Amino acid sequence: MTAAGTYDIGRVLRASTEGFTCGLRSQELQYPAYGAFVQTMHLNGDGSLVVIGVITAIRIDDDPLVRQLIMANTMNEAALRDQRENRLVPVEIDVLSIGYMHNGHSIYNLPPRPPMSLDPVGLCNADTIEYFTEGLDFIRLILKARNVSTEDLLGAAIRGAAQSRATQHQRAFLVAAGRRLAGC
Amino acid sequence: MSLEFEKLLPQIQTMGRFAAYRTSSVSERNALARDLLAAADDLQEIWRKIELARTNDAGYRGAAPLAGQINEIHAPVAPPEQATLIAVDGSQVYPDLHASALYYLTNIGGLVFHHGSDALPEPISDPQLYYSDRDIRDREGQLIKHAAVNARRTVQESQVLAHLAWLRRAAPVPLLGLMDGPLLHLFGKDVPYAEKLEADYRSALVHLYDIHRQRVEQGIGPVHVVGYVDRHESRFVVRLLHLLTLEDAQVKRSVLEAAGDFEGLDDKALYQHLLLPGQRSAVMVQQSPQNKSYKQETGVDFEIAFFYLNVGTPGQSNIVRLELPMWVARSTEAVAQVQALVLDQCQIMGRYPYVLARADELAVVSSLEKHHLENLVNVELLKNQQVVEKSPKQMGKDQARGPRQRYPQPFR
Repeated sequence: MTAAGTYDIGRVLRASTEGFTCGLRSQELQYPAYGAFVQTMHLNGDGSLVVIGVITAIRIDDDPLVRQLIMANTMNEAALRDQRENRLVPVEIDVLSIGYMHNGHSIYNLPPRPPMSLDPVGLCNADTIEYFTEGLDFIRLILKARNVSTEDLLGAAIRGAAQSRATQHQRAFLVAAGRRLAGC
Repeated sequence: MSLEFEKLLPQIQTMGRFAAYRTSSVSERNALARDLLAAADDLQEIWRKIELARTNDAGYRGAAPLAGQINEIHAPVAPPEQATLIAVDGSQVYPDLHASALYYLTNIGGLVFHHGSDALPEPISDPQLYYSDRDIRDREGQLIKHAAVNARRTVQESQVLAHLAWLRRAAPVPLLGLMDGPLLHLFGKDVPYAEKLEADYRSALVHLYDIHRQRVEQGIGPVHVVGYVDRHESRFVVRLLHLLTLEDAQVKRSVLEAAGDFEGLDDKALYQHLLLPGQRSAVMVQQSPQNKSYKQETGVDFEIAFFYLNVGTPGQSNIVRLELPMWVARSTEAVAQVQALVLDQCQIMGRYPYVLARADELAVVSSLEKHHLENLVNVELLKNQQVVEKSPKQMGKDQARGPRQRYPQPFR
């Protein structure tokens, strides 16, 4: 947990204003989930621009050694731990930008500039998600996203946003999101 | 791309046909060799022939029996419940006369693997940079050759293995040290200070033996050391069979230099038909002046023995040679443990020990890492007001081999 109340999950590998990809090691993969809200803050900036996004894909690339272990089909527990904890198995997470927060205000447009390489990426905490999703215009950016399954992503993001709220407010949020979707 | 494959293709096809012809012609000799090996159970006669070759100074470089029959085949036993395996391997960046600075790098990688336990294996990496004149030049002031770097890396591998074993000297389980390649080393003329390097290498073996002896005295298990030779063209057994076919009058250097009826046949091909997956050959000793010097100068416990082991799977044999110092080779129980533990490791990967594959991965310096190292060196040289420039030849090569690029567009 960072001081800002988010779980750091990795750092930016490459980025554009539409989204970014962050990298992490495989043993750090227990928290990020498809559709989860994440945020990144420009390290060299004044901290006033926080890009908000949702996870659209989580990828683990193979390598020849992993292929060989699978072919051998006699997985050894120590070798498995060695592969997962000692080897630098990279995990890549794609994130779609759905807005940003500037001086505490939520803005549902693409950020004015992308995060920089190696900027830390963290999972948004419940308060941040609730605050950012008070406005439902983030739905528009998800629907406009290219090369992602927008229905699945939207379902995951809306469900996550609802769960960040107190139980008695969840239904109202889901109904409001549904109405917004029907109007799109 | 400048290689003209249309010109090369007919040559590749001819090469394929030649390989097929060689395999078919060797198969008859292989059958003959198998019959001869099966019948070679008169140890007295075998030793008489070997002694005759020695007496005649016939340059015999074949195998000699160690204990038991040379045609024995041993099935694997169950591995010990627990053991600690330590594998080391090395990699290097050779000195380059055309680079901006003269230096070389060795990187020793290792993995400590706790067999029979879920404990996390321990990766080790030990990079060392060498740049002083004593390190990079020979006695005549010339830049050292690749063989010199290889020899120094080999010595470092043995020293790292000995150090890792020493750190685990109190482990109450057998220790198995694995090195990639043979254990028998004699560094050539291209290696400056070769005598010292050989002495250092043997000192590392002695260190390992001392740890073994202390542990055995304390009753906490042995230290096995193994050189794992995956790709080999050894002919030790084939040479022995050739010797056995000769009349006494024929046992001379000019005859033994050729392989006679077994021309083109090697031990790998021979044992592919003899060893089922998991089985090993008898333990034998290579007859050579190098091995003799190990025995006479370092001690009887340091003569190098070997056996062949099929680490493959049904239908896909892989005959490897395992080299062992005599303190391991003379113990039937130790050899059985080595056989079982190596096989267990090979099962993880398919046909190669997992610990050695990881040690290699930890050691290897990729071209990207080499490039990064060059950049770091250049930055430090610049910080110290040194001229950073590759040779014109290297710059020309880099330009010719680099990717095609557009001319820079002028600003409009």
